[in-house]
Amino acid sequence: MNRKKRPLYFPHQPGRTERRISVFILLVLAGIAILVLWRQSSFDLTRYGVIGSSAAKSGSQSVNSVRSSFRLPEIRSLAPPGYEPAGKGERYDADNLFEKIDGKAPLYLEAGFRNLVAQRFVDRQEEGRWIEVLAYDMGLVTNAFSVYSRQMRPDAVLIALPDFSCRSANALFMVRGGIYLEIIGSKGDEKTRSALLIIGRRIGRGGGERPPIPELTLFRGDRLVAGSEKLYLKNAFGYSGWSNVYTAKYKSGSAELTVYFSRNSSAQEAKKSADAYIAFLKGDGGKELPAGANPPGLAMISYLGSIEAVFVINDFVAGVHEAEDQQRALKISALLAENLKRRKGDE
Amino acid sequence: MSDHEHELTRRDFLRRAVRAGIAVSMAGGASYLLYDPVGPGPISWEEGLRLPDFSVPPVAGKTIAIVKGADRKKSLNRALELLGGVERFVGRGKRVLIKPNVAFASPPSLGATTHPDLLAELIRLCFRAGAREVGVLDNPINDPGSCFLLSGIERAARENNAGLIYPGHELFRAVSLPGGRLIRNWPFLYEPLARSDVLIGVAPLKSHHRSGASMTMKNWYGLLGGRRNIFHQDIHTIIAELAALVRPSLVILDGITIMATNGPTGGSLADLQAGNTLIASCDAVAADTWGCSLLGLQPGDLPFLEQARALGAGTTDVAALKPLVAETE
Repeated sequence: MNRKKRPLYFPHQPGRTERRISVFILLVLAGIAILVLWRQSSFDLTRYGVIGSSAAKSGSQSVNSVRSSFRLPEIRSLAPPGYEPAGKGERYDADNLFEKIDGKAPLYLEAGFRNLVAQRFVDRQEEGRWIEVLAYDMGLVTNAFSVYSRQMRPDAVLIALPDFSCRSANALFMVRGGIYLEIIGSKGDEKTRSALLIIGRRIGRGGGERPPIPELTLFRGDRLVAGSEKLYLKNAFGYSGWSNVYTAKYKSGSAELTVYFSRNSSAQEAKKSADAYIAFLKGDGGKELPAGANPPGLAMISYLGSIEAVFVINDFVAGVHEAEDQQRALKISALLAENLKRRKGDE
Repeated sequence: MSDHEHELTRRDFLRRAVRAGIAVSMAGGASYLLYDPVGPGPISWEEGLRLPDFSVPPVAGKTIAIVKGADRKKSLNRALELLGGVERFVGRGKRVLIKPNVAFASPPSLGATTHPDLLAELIRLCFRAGAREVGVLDNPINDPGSCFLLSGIERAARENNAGLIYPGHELFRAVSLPGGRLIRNWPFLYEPLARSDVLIGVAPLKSHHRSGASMTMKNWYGLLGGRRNIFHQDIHTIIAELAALVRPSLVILDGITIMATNGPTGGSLADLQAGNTLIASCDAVAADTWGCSLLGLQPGDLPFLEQARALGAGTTDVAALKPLVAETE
């Protein structure tokens, strides 16, 4: 028997070169595996039509943006007397917000939504009576105000809680700092409304010292319809060139007119923006009408059966939207122009 | 020779060569079998799961009933009477499945979900017609337990001896709509439908931020599984495809109280308006076409109506169906 014959699985010890080549190949394979894992872990949901956390970067990011230092109290501590938290509460981010509010999610996502914290409180004594607090962190006061103002119910009652608040029969809607809150009761009676107010006051504590959005003070005068102010972050009036546009309603006789303004980075930008809007209206069939000289540079366009007024004051583009009467539009334009001029003088 | 050397005999060489050859052949063969030079092609519809067709034989002049009145129970009974009675849809010994809208953990007073009183009456009518069993199912957007409980649906089902079907994973199967663009091998609450003889959809009439309106066709969204939110980007097409995919026995559109603004979740009583109308129909497209008028909309404002019609899911020419109209006290 040949003692020197070894089993086949002990052929020989690899040499130095062989070892080096083997290690190199293994490193390359490991690198490929790591690369694949890294790519797979960070796929772009937007390719599949799902708005991912990149939506947090949307919303107002301009001269109109307003930040706040407000921090919401611990949500479970908001329970009014006689109520207790039901469950641990829920938390949602941009990726799963739809799991709470379904088709309304884009309204918030497009306005800079960051996260939602929701907590239900149940009445200890009465089954079926509960209140749910939904706190949407929109990042900026302006973002929060935009979603608040655009969802304002026609018969909402304004209440004096900072920073902005109104109520309906069973719900309280608030903006406090960069947080938009919906506080919804299961019943629409006085008992519920009292509990909603208690929660609202706790949230509003410490606020109200100064206007949360200074631009809104430009809407003033006794003709202003209280609570009609809105902020469109994008596509105001269906026009893609209009971003960060504030609107409000003013009374004129028996009618209400919608006025608007948007602040730009400079007077030149404001002029460009106004010219682009006028060109858009004319390109879509609008006809220019003779306009007065007040404010200077005022343009009036007859468009789809109503009148659009556009003018520039310093770095503001402003005007009247969908007016039915040209004279009324002229008067309100002059009024708004005065407010805007005074603002520049204040600064 | 050292301890680490050995003679390579011819036998050793041949053994090694054969083993290496087998390993290479297997690897190469596997690669060849797995290799797809063409890429994924269209799905073969004959291989996919098909939903049962629950539609009932048409009866001229008895396709759609519109009842005005504020009482859900009375309106439902009158509407079914106009269409030929509940027995036309629910036969003796049949297994009935009712699909309400239980998407949100919201109380009945806020109008975001099917009203439990309407569901309760429908269940009673089904049993009165001789149904063997009645099941209630939905795949809610919020937590199912909370949704069924807070909406009152759980109670309505339990008190009337209907079974509540929670959307467990085992009930979903991949379903495709032949020719569909979106519903292709998509998880669907298939198993309960496969075991049933009758399918009835019951939906509240609501505005919808994305689609304009949420009515009987949108109600089938609650049968989808998976990450169905991606369909929001093409909301009208998905609603139309759902209407083409799901062929119910009957749909009921509850416009007694309408969520006129801030749908689909609402949240404020101020979002609600009295519509005082209930529609029962064998044609969901027709029901929704008529129903949108209660929101102040025209059919042209809702692209999914025309898309559904084009897919053969129903008709938007409601007048041609000669709707039966009645009033209750």
